[in-house]
Amino acid sequence: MSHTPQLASDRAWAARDIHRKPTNPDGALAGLSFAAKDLFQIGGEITRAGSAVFDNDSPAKNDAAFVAKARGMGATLNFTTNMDALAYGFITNNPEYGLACNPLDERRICGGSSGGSAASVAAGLVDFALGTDTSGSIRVPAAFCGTYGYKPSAGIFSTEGVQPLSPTFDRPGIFTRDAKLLSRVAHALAQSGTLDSTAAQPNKIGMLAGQFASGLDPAVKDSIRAFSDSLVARSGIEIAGVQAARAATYILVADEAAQIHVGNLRSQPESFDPETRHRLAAASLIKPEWCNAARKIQADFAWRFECLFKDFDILLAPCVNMVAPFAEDIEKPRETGHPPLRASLGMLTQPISLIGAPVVAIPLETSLGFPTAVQLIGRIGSDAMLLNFAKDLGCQI
Amino acid sequence: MSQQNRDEELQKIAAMLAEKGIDLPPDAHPDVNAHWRILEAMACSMETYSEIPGASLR
Repeated sequence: MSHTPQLASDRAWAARDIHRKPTNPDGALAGLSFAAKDLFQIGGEITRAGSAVFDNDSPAKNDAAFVAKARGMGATLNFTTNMDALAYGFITNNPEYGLACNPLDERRICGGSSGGSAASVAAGLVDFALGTDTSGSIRVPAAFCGTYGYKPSAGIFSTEGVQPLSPTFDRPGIFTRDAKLLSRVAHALAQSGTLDSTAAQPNKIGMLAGQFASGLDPAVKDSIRAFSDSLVARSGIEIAGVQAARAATYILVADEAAQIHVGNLRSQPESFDPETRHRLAAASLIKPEWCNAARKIQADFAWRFECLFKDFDILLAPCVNMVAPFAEDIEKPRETGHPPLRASLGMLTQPISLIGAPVVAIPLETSLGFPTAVQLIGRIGSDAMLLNFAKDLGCQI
Repeated sequence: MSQQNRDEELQKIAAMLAEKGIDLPPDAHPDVNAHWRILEAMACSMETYSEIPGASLR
């Protein structure tokens, strides 16, 4: 008997029909349903991470710690969700599971790589969903689908039993339809002692500008401005080196991904889908001096943010510079001199990944009828403050 | 770019992959090369960081 809603199968939001009951029906998440990205270990199942590369692996003995905790808190796992193969992408166009379409318009993409999780939540098929964010893989689909998304500081959620892409940057995280539930689920699933429910409210909020305000679709710009105008103590905060920071993230993630998969590239290249195989093969050629340069930028860029966090408790920035694009437009140039849409999708999330900051993505309406989202960025370890603030804003989709 | 330059680029990619022990068919090399050029562009973009006033990269 299938437990996956037909809609999730039809729209390529589901990966596999894997159903697991709660291990403790009376926990803090009792009665809630969830879906988990296809890269979390599920006991008795092969962890595929959206790729045939692992199809000859043994089934996992146990659930990933994050999944086990959700079931231990009373939630029911309904299915696993579609993702870009090996979590290396921003589209959720999986060679086996298909192109996940946006719940608000089938012709548009839902973003990735945790796109199936975001879409399943946005469509109301589950109460919450688990995903991962390395370069923006929770924040981008949250913006395109109109859900809340939470990318935590390292250590808030366990990474045990998660197929890695880039261990330095990978963060398990959560999607919900409202901020109150986001906070509730986050506190229930956090590792002991990592989230303080009595965290103070932020005193001062700033709005990042410069590259973070450049090239925004006017509807996204208006929406972000309307949200931020009443909140920020100062707008127009410029931080230098955003494009280089984005490039540093790109290089470091690619290098770590190649290191993880180079063994399989040598021994079973045919088991990868061509696009992922060729991307990883190129990444295996990255020069050590590029990684050294990227790490220096990482240290300096983090220091620049630390200086800003002396004056501000929260910094705001858009998640993406456009609403969910049409699938057919992904490879087209936006306009003369602009890169293709595909290349733009992580531009505003990758620089934040570089510094390891926690982010809550808050969905916003736009005049186009499709959502966008703003990143609430805090200093490392300020997760509880971000979650409480998001909850108190009382935003409901 | 001339056909000769293109061929040389692809030969270089094939040699670099062989050095890493990765054996892909020749028809994969143009695609790998396209991704390699993106990585090279990212490396160039990182070089601009040192021009930022106050950048500390030591």
